[in-house]
Amino acid sequence: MLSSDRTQKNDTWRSLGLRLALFCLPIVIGWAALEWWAARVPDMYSVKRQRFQSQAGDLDTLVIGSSSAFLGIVPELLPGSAFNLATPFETLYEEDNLMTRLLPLAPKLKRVIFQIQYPTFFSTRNPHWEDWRQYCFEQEWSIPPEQVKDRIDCRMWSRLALRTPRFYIERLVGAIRKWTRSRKFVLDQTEIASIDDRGGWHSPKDASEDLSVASATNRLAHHHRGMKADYKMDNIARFDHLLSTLRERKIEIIFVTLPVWQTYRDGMKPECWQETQQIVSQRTNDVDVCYYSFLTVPQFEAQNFWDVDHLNTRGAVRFTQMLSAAMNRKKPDSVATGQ
Amino acid sequence: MSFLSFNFAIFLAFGLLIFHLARPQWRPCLLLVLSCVFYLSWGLTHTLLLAAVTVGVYATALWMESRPAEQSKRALMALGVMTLLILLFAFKSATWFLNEFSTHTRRSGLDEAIFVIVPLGLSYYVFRMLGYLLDVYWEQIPAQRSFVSLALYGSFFPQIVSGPIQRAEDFFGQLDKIKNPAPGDFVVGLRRILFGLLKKVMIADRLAPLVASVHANPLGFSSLELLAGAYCYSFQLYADFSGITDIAIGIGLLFGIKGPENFNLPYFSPNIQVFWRRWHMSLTSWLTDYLFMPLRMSLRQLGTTGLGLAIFINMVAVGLWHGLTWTYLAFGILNGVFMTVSVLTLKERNTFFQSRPNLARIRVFAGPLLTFHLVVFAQIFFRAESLASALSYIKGIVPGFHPAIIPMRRFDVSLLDITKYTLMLSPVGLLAMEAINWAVGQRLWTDRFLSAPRPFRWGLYYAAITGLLFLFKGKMTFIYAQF
Repeated sequence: MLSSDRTQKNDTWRSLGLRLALFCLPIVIGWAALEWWAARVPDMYSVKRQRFQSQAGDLDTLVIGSSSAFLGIVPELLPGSAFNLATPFETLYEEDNLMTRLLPLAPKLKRVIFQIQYPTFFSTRNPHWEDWRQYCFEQEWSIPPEQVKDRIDCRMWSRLALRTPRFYIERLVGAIRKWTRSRKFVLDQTEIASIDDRGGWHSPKDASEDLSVASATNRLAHHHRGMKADYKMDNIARFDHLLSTLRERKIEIIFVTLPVWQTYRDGMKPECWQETQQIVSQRTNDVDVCYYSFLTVPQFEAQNFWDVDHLNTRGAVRFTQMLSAAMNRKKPDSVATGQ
Repeated sequence: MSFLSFNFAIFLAFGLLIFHLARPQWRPCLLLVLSCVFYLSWGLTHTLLLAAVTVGVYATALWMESRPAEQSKRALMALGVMTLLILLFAFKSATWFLNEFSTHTRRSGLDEAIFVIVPLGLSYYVFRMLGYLLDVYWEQIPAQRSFVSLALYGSFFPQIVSGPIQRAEDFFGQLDKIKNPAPGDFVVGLRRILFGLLKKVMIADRLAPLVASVHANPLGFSSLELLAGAYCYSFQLYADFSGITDIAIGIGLLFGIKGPENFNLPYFSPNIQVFWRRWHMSLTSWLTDYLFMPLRMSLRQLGTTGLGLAIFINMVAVGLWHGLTWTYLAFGILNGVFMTVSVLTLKERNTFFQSRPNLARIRVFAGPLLTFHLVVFAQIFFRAESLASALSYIKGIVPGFHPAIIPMRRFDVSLLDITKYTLMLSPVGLLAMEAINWAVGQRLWTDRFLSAPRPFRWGLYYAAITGLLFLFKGKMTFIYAQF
């Protein structure tokens, strides 16, 4: 290529680059503004973090676990000052890291209620389909995803990528509409409205959804897809690390299994559940560790369930009262039935 | 890393920046590195497999070319081709076998986690490598001396997910453009990507929930709803596949490589032969050159029967290329029957209509309409989760054969996971898409658009980008990315 041709071509590239930069400028500015706005829109994770941080100094009881605990344990019915920090599909990796980060913030903490459920030791975040949740932990608690490859992802920092631009645009439009009517800039609180103001508990409706065998089969298939025997050893290591962190602070540990509807229970793989109970039982010999399993208690009827493995509001209240009563009694010698 | 993800947008932006800032002679190597990074994001094992295939094909082609004897050349070619086909067959059949096995034994639970994942784009890169080996054997192109060039051909990231299947000769002929891409191509590429994204997000993904609903439970819908589902799937498939093709061609142009076109207004084809010349053109032309022509030559002594047989086998291969399942086999057989009948009766039909000008005028409209409906019918098998499901879907469409007690003419949009506006606007969107496709090929319209004031053009682009961001549903996959 002649040098004059090259210069001409470079000039064209330069002018194209300038035009492109000019074209992209409003998009970049718009994106940055939307990111700024998105960081101000509360979601379940940010609300839980903020409420926890505002109460951390006075807390003596903390609930961790996944959706069953999130929906099923009412902190204000527990003795002392309690907070429910459980979120859906929380993994042992996240719980372990969460406790390491939270303990220095809660100097009065003396008890942790730790939910043990059927998939606890057999599931992990990846390759689970709800992998987006790991980025919520990164954005709120600076807990990076477990797999290094998952850390090369813009959801590590971008809220728009974590949800969708539309989600935040709709909230912005809603807030502007309210402002034009009442001159008050009010955010849409739909997502966080059901989260209890103080305790972080998500109160589901009292209605029961489908509790049939088909529904349980679907739910179990969903759980089984993410469950693998290969994950067990890593999960046990994380579990033990979590326990040793709590023991160092001389914090009482209460393992608890929440009730599930019989159709779900009947579909559980007995060998998996027995193994889970065995793992937990081996760790309940210490003075400050006990386990309450409410899996098979007969007191819970269909009207106490929201779906096959989650309690509804009525069930949650009933369950928490039973748990409180059990905690007030003496520590059981072995695995308790909770009755 | 899906093409429709923010991660990919960032990867592409950085990749382009590094690529265009690099010295021209480094650009092919850089593009290969980018392709490897892209493929690595899907898994290390599959990247190693791709690397092994590339090394094997590179060595085989060079070795084949250096052999003086025809016999040893043929043996090497056969070895290479068989290895690639076995690899393709092994992965595809393993998935089929495990699916069948788990269905028959009704195993559930933890055991379901044992499955085989077909490497991303396996069908595409295996076909590209097969074509390259055969071209070298037939002495249509020389064996590639540069390993980087061959590796780039095999792994070129815009085309590895869903094609198009570019021929080796075409790709290697453009290697110089990688070193010195044209600014004009860059702009065309950007426009093409935007158009592809619009097709995917505004048409294909709008229809996806309806299609998923009706195919998940065909017995729960009325004849009319199932019929709407069948049409919508044809629209969805076309918008989805041509969308990803546009994105792939557009990204290729940003790096100086122009990929082959895959579509040319297929739903306006006057007959099924023309349809298959306008639909997934890179695959059908590949199969025509590497399967149909050799078959036709070897079966020519059988006359018309040989021709029919060659067409039929070719169409079955088109079906099975997508995967070794009963539904794809049925799709291939159906199209084989349609094609064979169409080809063998074309002469008679033409003669018939030549002497009847009034009917010939009707044929102009009836031909595309009939062809479209044959395609919609065959695509029910293509989309169905099983052969039984496809058959119950078809039974459900036919009045009087619907097994459930649902009013035949019921049309309840609320059951279809779609709004009535989306349903009404989707054919309009598809027609608009085809009008743009047509206009892009017309110099007059292209010039008119390009000479329009910049604020008008930029306004359109901004509107399109805003629409995309507003309708974007998060991480999404393309239908043809699974093959």
